[in-house]
Amino acid sequence: MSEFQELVKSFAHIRDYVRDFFVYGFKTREDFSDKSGRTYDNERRRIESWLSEYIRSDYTQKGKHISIALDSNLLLTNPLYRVWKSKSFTDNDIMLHFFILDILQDREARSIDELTNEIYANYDVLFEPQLVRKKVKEYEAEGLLLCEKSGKQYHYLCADSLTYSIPAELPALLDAVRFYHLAAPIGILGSTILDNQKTTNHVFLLKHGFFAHTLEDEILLTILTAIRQKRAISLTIRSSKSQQVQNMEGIPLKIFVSTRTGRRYLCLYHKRGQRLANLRLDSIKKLVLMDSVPSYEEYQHILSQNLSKVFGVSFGNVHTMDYIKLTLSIHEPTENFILKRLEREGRNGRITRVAENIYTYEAEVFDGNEMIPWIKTFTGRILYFDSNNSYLKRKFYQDIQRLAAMYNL
Amino acid sequence: MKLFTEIYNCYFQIVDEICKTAQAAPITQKEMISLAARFGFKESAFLIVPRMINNWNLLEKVPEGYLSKIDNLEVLPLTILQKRWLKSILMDKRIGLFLDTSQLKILHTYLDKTEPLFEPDDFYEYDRFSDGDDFSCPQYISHFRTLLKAIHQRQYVQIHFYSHKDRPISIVCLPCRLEYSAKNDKFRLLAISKKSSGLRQVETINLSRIHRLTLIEQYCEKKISLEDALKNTYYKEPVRLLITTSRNTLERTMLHFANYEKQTKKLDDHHYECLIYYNRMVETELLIEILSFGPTVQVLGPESFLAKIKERIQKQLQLIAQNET
Repeated sequence: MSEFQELVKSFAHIRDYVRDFFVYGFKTREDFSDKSGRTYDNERRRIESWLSEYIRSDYTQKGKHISIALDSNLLLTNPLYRVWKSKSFTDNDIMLHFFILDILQDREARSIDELTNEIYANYDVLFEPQLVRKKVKEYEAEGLLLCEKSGKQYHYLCADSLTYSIPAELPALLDAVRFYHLAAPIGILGSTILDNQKTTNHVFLLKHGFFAHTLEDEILLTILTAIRQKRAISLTIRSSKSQQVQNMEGIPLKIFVSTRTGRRYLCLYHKRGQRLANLRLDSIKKLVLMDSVPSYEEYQHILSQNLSKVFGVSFGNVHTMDYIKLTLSIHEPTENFILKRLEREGRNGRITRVAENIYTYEAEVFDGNEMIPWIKTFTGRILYFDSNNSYLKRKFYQDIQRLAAMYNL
Repeated sequence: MKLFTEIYNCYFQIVDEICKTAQAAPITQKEMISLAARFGFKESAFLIVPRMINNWNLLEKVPEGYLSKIDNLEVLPLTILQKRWLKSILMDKRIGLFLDTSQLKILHTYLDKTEPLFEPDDFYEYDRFSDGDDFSCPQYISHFRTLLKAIHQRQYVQIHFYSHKDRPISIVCLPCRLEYSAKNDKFRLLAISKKSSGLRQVETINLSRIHRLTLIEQYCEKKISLEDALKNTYYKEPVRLLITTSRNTLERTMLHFANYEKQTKKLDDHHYECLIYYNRMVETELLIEILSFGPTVQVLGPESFLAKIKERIQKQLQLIAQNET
């Protein structure tokens, strides 16, 4: 049997396991039936190794299930970043990394032959110059090394570190990185900058943080590249409801983020369907950059024109708008905080004081169904719920009756 | 430019730590194991230390242990991807809390040729509250920086602020953390104050409610864990939910409550039990979040939480009944 390896070649391979362990946490070995039991055992052991202090095992009649239990409100970093720090490498990769960067610390440029010879002289390891060239080229592309042409030959030197380039600004910048590594998109990069500077975050905490987002960062990075370069994309998505796999093409416009429900979406213009659509980032399995879109701004304009009528992420399926009217009992002034809630959470709705202690909230949106969960947060204060969409009205009142029955009220 | 690359691998970090430790004086195998345990994963030491000794030619055996052959390497440069991320955060509306205009100018010059990875407009937080803090307010920036300094120096402060009921309050406390809520778009200070009884108490103060703040010449020598203090504020009994699978509720609740510590168990093909750990500070928020799912999520306990849910539904039933009559 081969030796167990903590490291992995492909992130996509491990992404779904980590997500299942963290977001769901109730699946047993048998529930991962699309892969062999052996594969499950290996991935489980890796995840246990990466996140040992957050792993919880429980037993049910169906067997043992593993979950990643963490309270994001109490953590100074996102433990799931560790998954990004698990890329496998070869012996040559690690040796060349340290040898090349160690030699080039003197800020002198060297040719590939000079580097190869110095590696042999300093560390007693003989590499083929092609191998050294490959690693140097790779590091030049990553930005760690710079290339200078001298005559017919290329010489390489080490790029300047943060410590060297901006010593006076560095402490303040690192405080910013401590914050943004938790709060900004693709925060894993902030975490690697803290690693680079051998420091950690001891200042900031994040409330309402959804740590699983980092598992979509590779997909997000490609989408952001497409947005920056105004290019179309081709993507493969798998529905979380039906598990159906679908391929489509579109023009990526924005990332919609819910700060409450933990979901992020890619908003794109679906050319074939000639409509705007939002796709869950975690449903995107594969993404390929395509040609640039000359009329990209026009699609951005279409989105900005529609944005005020979207309550969540749905652009609706029918041409009629859903009109919603909510009448609430708010006792003045003791319950003015409810009024404040309506103002700050109601997005483009109109609030009117219709009588003493009675207010209405009205909105026209593409898809009124998206408003229902928010409206239900006012349970206990709703005098009337009205809508031109009879289905929504019926559903709202039926749900109240179902709640009453559920709690024997 | 890849995000998943060995350059960011924690094994490289461990090896770097080992080499730096072994530059001045020999390192022992035990010390290597300890560094691998500190910077790596659970089993990293078993995989790295033998290779450090036998395969990678980074160390030289001496009688007292091992000396590093890597003796020049200091701090690594940043990758283009890391620089692009830095450029993006410089465009964020909150960056002025950390860096003043002249510092920002120097950083923009440093990253002059770097393309941002993303811009603020690439993201649309559609359900973020609209009454977030004013991050450009000079007084707010000044308070933020004073608190940052106090946290770094473990220095006490005197804070004058207005409570949620707009009552003026003044306290002396030790600032421990700055907590940012993406949903509220607000910073709150988490601090520890000492009551006259000697008991420590966690204070939570919205930064926008502070109107005067001064550092005082008192420093904290002891190690105080705010996270432990916060953990102590959690109720012993978690909220117990019965989740049904209709309306895709399982998927929705699992994502929605992913920012809480939770534990989920499958009961049968259509029912799941989920335990959510919480404290008084988030109780009302959790309660209305649960209500937002309607009849597909049922609270089973604890009794006090269940009573609050029932009270709201009862009130709602009364309002509907009144309107019908």
